[in-house]
Amino acid sequence: MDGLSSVIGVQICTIFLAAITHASLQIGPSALLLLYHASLGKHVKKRTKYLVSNFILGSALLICLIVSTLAFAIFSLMGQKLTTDYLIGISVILVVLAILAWIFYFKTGRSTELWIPKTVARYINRRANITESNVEAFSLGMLTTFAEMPFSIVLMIVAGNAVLALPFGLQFIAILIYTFISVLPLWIMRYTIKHGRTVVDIQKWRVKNKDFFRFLTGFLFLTLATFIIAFFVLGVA
Amino acid sequence: MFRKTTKKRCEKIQSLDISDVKDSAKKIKNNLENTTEKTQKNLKKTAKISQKKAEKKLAKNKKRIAKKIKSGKLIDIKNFRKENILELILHEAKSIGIRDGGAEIIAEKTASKIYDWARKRSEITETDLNLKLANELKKYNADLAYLFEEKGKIL
Repeated sequence: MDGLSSVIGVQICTIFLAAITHASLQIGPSALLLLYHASLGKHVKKRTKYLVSNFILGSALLICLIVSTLAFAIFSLMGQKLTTDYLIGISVILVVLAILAWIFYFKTGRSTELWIPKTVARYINRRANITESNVEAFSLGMLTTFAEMPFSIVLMIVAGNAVLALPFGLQFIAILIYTFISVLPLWIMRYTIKHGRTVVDIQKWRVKNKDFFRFLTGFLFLTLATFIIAFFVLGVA
Repeated sequence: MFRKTTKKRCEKIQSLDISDVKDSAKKIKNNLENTTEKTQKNLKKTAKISQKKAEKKLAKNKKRIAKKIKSGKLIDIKNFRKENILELILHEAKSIGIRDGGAEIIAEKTASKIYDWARKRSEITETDLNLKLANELKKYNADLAYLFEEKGKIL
């Protein structure tokens, strides 16, 4: 019983850590800020609130679906869970992503521009400006999650793998927890704007703490890699 | 020696007929006319080619400008109105909650200045316009100016 609970504990910690790392990524908050900015200039606050909620829901739904799909894919292709070789590979990728986050994630200068393809950034920018309906906002949320994939796919694989080791009843809850934590910054942003903060306040805060975000993202990727090596590869648990 | 050669030349000249001289003069004249015609033709050709090249370059440039205007990098000066700037400032002001009256006053003051500045230029990029707007708006509202400074730099 003790062994089982410790295994569950490690899996839940892995999911938690992967979700926090996912939450530290910046494309989602940037796109949401763009949508907020464009919508507040055109619509009344209530309409903007609905658009933003739909954006977050779209993002959450896609994350939930991807994690579930990846868990199912691992289960069908690899048997029960990923083998040690794959986990070592994932850890290496996580370390590389940590270094990339430290060096390349944000562009230099006093802005929060990210190193994503210019066409993608422009497309998200344009879509945020012309979003009028809830469906469009929902799709924009999905698109943003998709644009984040180069960084987040490994995290979702790790989460999907961890979900498989949990008892059946807990698997669905674990996926929901991962989704909830990864979109938490978006809800927090929505809450702060609703309670009087403006887009300028949030952007100034983001620019001011840019280096901290860069450090945090890289550090979290590195921590997750260490966690996987310690508990899954070396088998400390 | 010298006397011999001059004698020979004199003999040659004496032996020449006037008709021969006239023929050779005609030949020279014809040759000259031909060469001038050829050079004129060549000049016309090069002028045509350079004109075509210039036309092509102009068309290419027009296409490039149209493309840039379409993508939003360049401002379309021909269709650029004061109302556009007013609308732009009012939109941004509304997004940060500046009240309508105040926003309209700020927009009116800034728009006329920006419009005068823009009219003097043949080409304006969107970045130029945003920077100019930010500089002008700094006098009235720092947050509004910040929005124009940060435009396109959020993501």
